Amino acid sequence: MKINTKYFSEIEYSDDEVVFFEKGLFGFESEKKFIIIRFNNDNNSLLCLQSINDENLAFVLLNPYNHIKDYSLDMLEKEFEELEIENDNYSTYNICVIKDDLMESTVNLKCPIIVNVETRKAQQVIMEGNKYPFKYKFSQFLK
Amino acid sequence: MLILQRKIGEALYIGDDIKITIKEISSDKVKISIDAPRDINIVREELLLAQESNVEASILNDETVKNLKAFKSF
Repeated sequence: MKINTKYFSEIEYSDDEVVFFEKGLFGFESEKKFIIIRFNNDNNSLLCLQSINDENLAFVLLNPYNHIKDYSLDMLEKEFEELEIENDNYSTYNICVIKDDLMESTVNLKCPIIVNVETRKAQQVIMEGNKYPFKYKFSQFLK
Repeated sequence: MLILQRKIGEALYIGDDIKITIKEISSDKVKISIDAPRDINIVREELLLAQESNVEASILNDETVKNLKAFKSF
C-alpha cells in the first residue's frame, strides 16, 4: 500500500509494518495506526512515527537505549500485561520535540511508547514518579 | 494560592458542588475522592502534560526535517 507522508512524500508499506495503538497517543487519541520510518540508514537513534490516517501527522522518535543504557520501565506491569509483553518481545521509543539546533531538542522520557514486536500492538504510557522528565535535552546525552 | 490542612475523612468544597474528601494518607501518597457534576472535567496533571508534549512534538519545520535526514549520530 502507498501513503503520503509528512516528511518523506509518498512511500510504500505493508500491513505487517503497521503499529497499532488501541488508545491512540496522548492528545491524539483517535490516531491508532502508524508506521515507523528511518530518517536515514546511518541513524538508528532517531526514527519517524507516521500516522497512516493523517499524512500531516508525524512524530520523531528516539531509541532510548542508545543513549540511556539503564532506562528503566520496571514500573509498567499493567501495561506490559495489556500488551502481552514477555521477555524481550518489545521495543521502546520516546517522542522528541525537535528544535532547529538539534542538541537543543528534548525527548519525553516520562511517556515511553512500548511496541510488542510480535503483535505490533503499542501503547504510550505515563511512568509514575519523578525519575524521568517530560523534557530531557539531547545535549545531556553527550555529558 | 490557598493552602490548607485536612485530616483523613475531612473534606472541602470548591464552589457549591465540588466536594473533595481525603480518604487515605501514606508517606508519599494521598488518596482523595471527588464528587463533582458530570460536566466537570477531572484529569491528572501528567495526562495534560503528556498531551501538550505530544502536540508540541508534532510540529516541525522543513529545515529541521532536512537536518534530521542528514543527521548520522550523536
